[in-house]
Amino acid sequence: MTDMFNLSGKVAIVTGARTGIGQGIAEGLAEAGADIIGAGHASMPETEAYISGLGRKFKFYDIDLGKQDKIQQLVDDTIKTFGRLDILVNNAGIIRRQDVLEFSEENWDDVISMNLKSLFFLSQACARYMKDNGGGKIINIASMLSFQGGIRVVSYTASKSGVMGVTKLMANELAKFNIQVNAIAPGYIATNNTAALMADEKRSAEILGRIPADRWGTPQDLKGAAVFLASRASDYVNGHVLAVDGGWLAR
Amino acid sequence: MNYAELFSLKGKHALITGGTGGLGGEIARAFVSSGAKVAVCGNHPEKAEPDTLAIKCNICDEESVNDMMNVIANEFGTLDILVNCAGKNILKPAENYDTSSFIDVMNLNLTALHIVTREAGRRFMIPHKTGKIVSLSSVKSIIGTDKDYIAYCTSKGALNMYTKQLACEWGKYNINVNAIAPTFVRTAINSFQLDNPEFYNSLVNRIPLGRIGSKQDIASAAIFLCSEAASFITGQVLCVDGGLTAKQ
Repeated sequence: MTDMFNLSGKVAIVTGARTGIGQGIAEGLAEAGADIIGAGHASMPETEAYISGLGRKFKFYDIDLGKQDKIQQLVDDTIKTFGRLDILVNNAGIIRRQDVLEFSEENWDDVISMNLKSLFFLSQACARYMKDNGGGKIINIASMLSFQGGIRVVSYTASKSGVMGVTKLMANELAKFNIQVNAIAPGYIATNNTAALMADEKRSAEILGRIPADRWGTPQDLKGAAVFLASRASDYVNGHVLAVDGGWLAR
Repeated sequence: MNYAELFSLKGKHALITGGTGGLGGEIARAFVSSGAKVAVCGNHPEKAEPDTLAIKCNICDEESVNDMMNVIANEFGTLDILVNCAGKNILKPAENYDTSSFIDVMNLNLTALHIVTREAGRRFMIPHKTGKIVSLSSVKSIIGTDKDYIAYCTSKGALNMYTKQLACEWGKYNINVNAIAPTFVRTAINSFQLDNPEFYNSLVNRIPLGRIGSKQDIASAAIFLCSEAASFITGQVLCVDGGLTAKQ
């Protein structure tokens, strides 16, 4: 049965695979046999060393996903380099914090451009290839704020709520091409992005007290969900947003 | 950990209610091939998969469940995984849904599920601070249908909340509680519906992936949720429905 989860011979683009959740997912897909293009604005030496150490191929692709001008080139170059493309993980994202009454247009546009606009246009570019090549898997990284409001992060909440809607829409429209589109909504995960939050004893204790699993997640915790959604084990799962949150949303 | 270990059930002990036929039987077979030791109870012990331990049990009866747990204690010593597959459906329009039919559906789909789950937790999972519980819900826990499903839909909607609440209560014991919400998968109890071409076509036309589910689709989701790969997933209802609920 574990064959169902095997990704040998598959090629995946993972955006934002330098650290944290993206790194964990890229490493997980590689452990299951996939070769990886890590797309982002800064090199990914740790991810590369780990994946190369597994005997899988890894290529860093330098791209500013705050803009859309190089997205088609990323897809074209992936196919040129690795000969195929089976899996896209849209993980790259940013967050800006500001009171809603002060929230600037720049903080709105920057976040929406990367978290939502690039996610969609990269998905579109990949899906055009997948459509003509037997199908594929698109996995978007959503958030607890796809479901909840949050505070002082209005553009992030808008973008992640948008990711949930875009995931469902693409699942509907791309199903006929054997492309499954799903999302993972991580809960509180210990990464460099949340290090400041974890260091704040009061906030950290409040958060931990609300997680039924009684612990923060780690990037390792995302591997299983990513491999499942990238593999044929999930060929009938489509348009789903799977929370990996230790039960946060259940509460 | 390599991916094969991540999704392996090697060395795990599982109980599958409704595990002697249909979806439960397929899950039993998949779990055995993933390395688990599997006990099953159900209406058709003679149809139990080879290499499973078939236990006679009326899961609506506390004493019978207690006896089943004693057998598991004796044969397995412990229980790491519980898959709640046993369930039933009675089709009647709401205005004619008699009380005893309603109670009958609720009794098996909810009360019996609670009895088994409670005892699995109390006797094995809580003391050992480890466990994976997966229950078979349905897309009908989320979306209604035009007729005849008042008790079934209600029971499955309640099961989703049972799943969330138990996830909250048992998270501290390192027990993950999740559900799978399939759309139609052909089994003995629904083939009469699927054999009606009008019904079948209208169903498939609503499913973005253009087919009904297979038993394997559900079994692979169950393996995922019962493995270490899902150790930070709890309180979730995983739709395995070809995109049906996303489209609705």
